[in-house]
Amino acid sequence: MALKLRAVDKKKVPAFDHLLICAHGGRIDLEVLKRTSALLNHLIGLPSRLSSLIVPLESAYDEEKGQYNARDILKSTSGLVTPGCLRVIVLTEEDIYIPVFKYVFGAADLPGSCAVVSLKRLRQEFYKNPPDLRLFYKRVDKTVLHELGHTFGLTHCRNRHCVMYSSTRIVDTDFKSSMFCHHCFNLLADHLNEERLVCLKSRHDDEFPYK
Amino acid sequence: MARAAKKGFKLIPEGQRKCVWMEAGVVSYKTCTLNFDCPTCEYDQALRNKVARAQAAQEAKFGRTWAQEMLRLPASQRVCRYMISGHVDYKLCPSAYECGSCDYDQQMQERMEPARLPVGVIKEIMEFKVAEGFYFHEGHAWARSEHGGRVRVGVSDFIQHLLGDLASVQLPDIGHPVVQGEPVVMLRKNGHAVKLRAPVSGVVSHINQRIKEKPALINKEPYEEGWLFIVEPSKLKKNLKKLKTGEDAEGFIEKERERLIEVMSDDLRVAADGGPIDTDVFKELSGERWESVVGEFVG
Ligand SMILES: [Zn+2]
Ligand SMILES: [Zn+2]
Repeated sequence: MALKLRAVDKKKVPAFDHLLICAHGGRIDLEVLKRTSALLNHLIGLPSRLSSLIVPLESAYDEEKGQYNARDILKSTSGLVTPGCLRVIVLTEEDIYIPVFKYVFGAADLPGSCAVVSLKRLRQEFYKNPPDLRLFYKRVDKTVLHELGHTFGLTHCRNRHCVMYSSTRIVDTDFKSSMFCHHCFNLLADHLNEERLVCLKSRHDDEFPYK
Repeated sequence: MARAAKKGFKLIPEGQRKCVWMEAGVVSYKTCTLNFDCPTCEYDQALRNKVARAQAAQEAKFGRTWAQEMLRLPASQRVCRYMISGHVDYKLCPSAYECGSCDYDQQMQERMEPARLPVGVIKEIMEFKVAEGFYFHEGHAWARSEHGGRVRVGVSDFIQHLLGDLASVQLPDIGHPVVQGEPVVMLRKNGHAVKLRAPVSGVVSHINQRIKEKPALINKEPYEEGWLFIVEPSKLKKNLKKLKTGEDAEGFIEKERERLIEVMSDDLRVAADGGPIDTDVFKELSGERWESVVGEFVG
């Protein structure tokens, strides 16, 4: 189901602390947006909202590469940050890049308000495999959490199991878990605290079983 | 052997050759232990110093170098050092014993260039190749021990990518002493230059002349035909401790890769997660930006 384009008055966006999930271009599957919103509600403990605003496609397009520049997407996204909106997460079906990389799964302000995740290379179809929705959603969750982590100031983690491990290839994403390691979890909790946000659920040690 | 017996006071043992200093009659007995690699020979250096000191003190003994002695002979007896060494049957000196600038000497050097050991396994650290058995210096020069205790030197595939199309490569002279960690090769690209540091200490015994004419060999085969020079090492054991090989070398390139991503990002306030580095972007590096990016890794 595709999200219908609808111009929304910015004032209608709720003023209390929340995360905003937003589409880049009109091709995004509403189910992915809803699931992402639910994931963040559950994990970060912050309400997240779906925005019906759409980050425009054109400006970030590089004709030579046939890809969108993630940095430009982040720039145009920053305009969507309104009072109470803590972070904006943009999902796109388009292939994105950032100079120096041939492609990126995601990019984010470090730290800052905006993150962008491309769904294109998270789908099995991209690798000429039959669709696998379960795997696809796992990949989306990991990538969204990773980029959100960056917006809270987290940098890459050397623990291959930690969600903050940088994925160079999709196998890296599949290998890592959707959890923050102890170190990153504590950092994230600190950052959330600093911003006086709702705290993360405290976690027992055995919940991150990897060394 | 006939020549040796005629001129020498002692017979030269079978399989050995007279040193050029003996051939010139400056010393009465000395055989060559270094395959006529005079530029890297400590004995040659010591005698040249002795001559210089004697000249300064105006002493008669050691008044001349072997080359000066040879020049006093009639032209028909001024034999080339490659004839003394037995590498050629008959050759007279074409350039007043200035071997360093002699074309014939250079040709012979190339012909006598030690054979390169074949490259074994090449590991790929994402976009960058790391050859097994090679020792890497933090400044991205590699060193590899070869037959006869010599060490061949070149640059890593990582830095080759950053260097791109070089305008020129200035190699050290044969006989030039090099010190681990000190600049030794000048690499130039459109008016800008960076200095590569030596991975080991010693004396340069051979240089890769082909690089001077075709710097692109460095890009094409950094671990093979793109080598730079060969060193007669002086403190190899100690030097190797500071170099990285095997898994350490792979870890080093991995870390350098991360540093490269940071250096190349024009905006450090954006984090990105993604695919291989687009190595084409390095081809576009030029001028001061090229100098500073490459300098960040070789410096
Ligand atoms: Zn971590
Ligand atoms: Zn990241």
